[in-house]
Amino acid sequence: MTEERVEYGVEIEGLTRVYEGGKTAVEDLTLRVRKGEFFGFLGPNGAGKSTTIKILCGLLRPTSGTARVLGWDVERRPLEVKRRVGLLPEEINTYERLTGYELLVFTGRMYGLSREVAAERARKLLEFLEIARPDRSKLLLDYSMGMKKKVLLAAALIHGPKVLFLDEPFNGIDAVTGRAIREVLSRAAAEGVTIFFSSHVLEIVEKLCSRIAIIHEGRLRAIGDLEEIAAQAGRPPGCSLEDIFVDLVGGGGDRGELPWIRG
Amino acid sequence: MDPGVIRSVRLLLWLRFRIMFRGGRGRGVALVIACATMGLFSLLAAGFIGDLTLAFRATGNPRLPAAWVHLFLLLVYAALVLLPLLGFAASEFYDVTKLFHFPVSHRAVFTARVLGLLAGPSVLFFAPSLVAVVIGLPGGVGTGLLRGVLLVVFLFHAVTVAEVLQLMLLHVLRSRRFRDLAAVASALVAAGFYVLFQLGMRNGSPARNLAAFLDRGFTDYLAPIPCYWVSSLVAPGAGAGAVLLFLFGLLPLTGLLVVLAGHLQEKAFHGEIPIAVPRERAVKADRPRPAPFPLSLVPGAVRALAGQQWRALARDPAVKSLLIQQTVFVLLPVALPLLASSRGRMPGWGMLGKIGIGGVAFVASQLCLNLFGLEGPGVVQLLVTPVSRRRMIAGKVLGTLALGVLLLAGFLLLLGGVFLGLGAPPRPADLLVLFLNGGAALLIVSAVGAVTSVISPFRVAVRGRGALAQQRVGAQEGCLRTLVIFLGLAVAAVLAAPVFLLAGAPGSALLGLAWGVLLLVLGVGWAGGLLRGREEEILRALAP
Repeated sequence: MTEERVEYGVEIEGLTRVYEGGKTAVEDLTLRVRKGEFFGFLGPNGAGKSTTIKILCGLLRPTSGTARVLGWDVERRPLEVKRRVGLLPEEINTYERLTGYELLVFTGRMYGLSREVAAERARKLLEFLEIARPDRSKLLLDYSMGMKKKVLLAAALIHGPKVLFLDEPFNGIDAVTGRAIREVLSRAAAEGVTIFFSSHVLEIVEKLCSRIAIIHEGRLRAIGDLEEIAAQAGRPPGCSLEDIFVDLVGGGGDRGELPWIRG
Repeated sequence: MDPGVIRSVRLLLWLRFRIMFRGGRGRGVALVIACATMGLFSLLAAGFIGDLTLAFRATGNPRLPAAWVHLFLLLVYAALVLLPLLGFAASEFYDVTKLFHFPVSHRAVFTARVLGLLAGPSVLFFAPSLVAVVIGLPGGVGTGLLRGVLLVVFLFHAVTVAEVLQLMLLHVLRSRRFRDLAAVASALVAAGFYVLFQLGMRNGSPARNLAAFLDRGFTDYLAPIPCYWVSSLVAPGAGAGAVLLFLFGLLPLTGLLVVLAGHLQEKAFHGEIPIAVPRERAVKADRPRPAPFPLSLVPGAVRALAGQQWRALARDPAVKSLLIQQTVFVLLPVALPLLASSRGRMPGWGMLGKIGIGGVAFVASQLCLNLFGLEGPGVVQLLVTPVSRRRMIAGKVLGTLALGVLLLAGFLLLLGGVFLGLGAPPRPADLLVLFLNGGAALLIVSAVGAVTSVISPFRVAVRGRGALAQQRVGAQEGCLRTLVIFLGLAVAAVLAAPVFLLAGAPGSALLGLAWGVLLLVLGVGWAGGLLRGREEEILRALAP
């Protein structure tokens, strides 16, 4: 298979995942993301975003349906998929007894880079993400949440992935770190990397993503650019992503009153 | 083998050793000292084991060396299988889920993990002892080498069992509930070994006690355990049955386990084994109900704080571990009558009771002297409340005191039970006096603790991530804390001295209790006043 001839970075057809116990996390999901696209993948908590990303990274098997990354079937060829993707997971589950630098070199080598190349890229990424030299020799255990996110983003980028999956990259980080991460992502997108981006920060999604999908309770509710999803939500063009999102996932109802909160 | 797999295995082994040496926070000289100490202990244990093997061989009783091999290999087997489970939270290497997103085959991961376990601290610790057993057993060089090969198979089998169990229990091992349980279980195991050691040392020579135990023929019960299938062949005088057990029992079972582990690894890599941390069972919420008399006299904020402190102490695994370890030291004097070889050496229950009460007060002091320690960053929420600082201290003291009283009551019940079993039961009135004396001691320790908690608070940051979250302190800060704790204990001892010196005099128990209450009221009042001026220091210490 020639990856260059594949049109889509991500292709999902009728994807369903049912967990043990019968909970359906994703149901009959179909979507396509073109190569080099900055794609926003939104949904409220528990909508099935993380499950979809895990399936696309070969970490979970779908119950039914197919998922392809750069043309590779994630169920049949998970290692081929893993070689080509980078993942910044929502939940930090890494080796916190390594220093930031060591984790990056280790990650690079796990993806087949030579020690020299991995070390060189690790240094460059740490510099780009403004992780100060003294901090590089600290254990990840001693890093702040923002620094951990930056190092994990660097780990997702060190092998030069063709598709980048980002699950809540801006969760719990400050504005300065957020800006550094946005800059890295914009550069990656400009270089043709497909970015599959899940976040609750709708302003950032609106600013960065060319197309957006909104899922709720495992099902796709809308997909397209901002105008297209506004139309699918029955909203006029030009309204904010937040309004569209709340309309589609059914929030904003009457929540009752809190009568004791008074000035 | 595929060069990619070899490369991945090498990298994962590098990771294994890097994480192993970072288990503690020590680096450089501290790490070298830690490794040297571990090596020294391992060699000392090997010397002891080798000596025992030779001693059993020298008795001329052919059952002893064989039974010894069975027992020793059983202990090593249990350690190799259980330690990775108990240490799962403490070592990141054991958590295979961290590798799932790498493009590495599950075969490479399995190979690296088995090799990593074989080169892990448990195997390295026991290896000299295993060699010592082989050297100590009768037989020539050839037999020794054969036993060596059998022991390598035994180690491989044991780590494969450990790997299979880890994969099967992955979601349980990653849960907070298991982490808590492991911390408590580790403390229980350590305390159990300590008691066994004391038992072995007290009644005559340890070798003679062990020989008597080995001669009882317990090995008949070990036949269903796989480690017996190899220890039968390692033990002297092995017959054809032992060869058959090894060839048609252990080897096929190990092969099956390898296949099973590989299969489980593959399933885990594809998300077919539940690896997500299971949802923790919700703790039953307290239903609001009116406080019973006399608790209803206590202000609501104090009751709420006491309840919060009690729950924090009762639910924290670090506190449970601490209490278990320290309680063993306290209960050991009570166990002395059972451990003593003759009734003539048995001390009276009154003396044991006083020693025990001192011990209970000491255990309680570990919690009382640092009342804010478990709060961590949560102390911000506590200090932002408008509760009077005196009431705040009083609530924390009451919660801690309740745990101390429970410990005291448990100790006295045990003391009474032991002496009842020995046919010399103490009178209930005497036990009540001891209870009042103990209560007074707890009140005094709490009074002193209220003050030291404000003067020198420090974070006990072990909740959630176990030993990984230990806070580092500077040498100067650490010395100051130790000094304050020692001073606190010394002051409490001086203040409690009249209670014990006057014990036995008419009305002394009630007087002692009144003395304790007075000191507690004064201590809480003083600490409350101090707290108003030291909130910034407390925040800096607990929520930097």
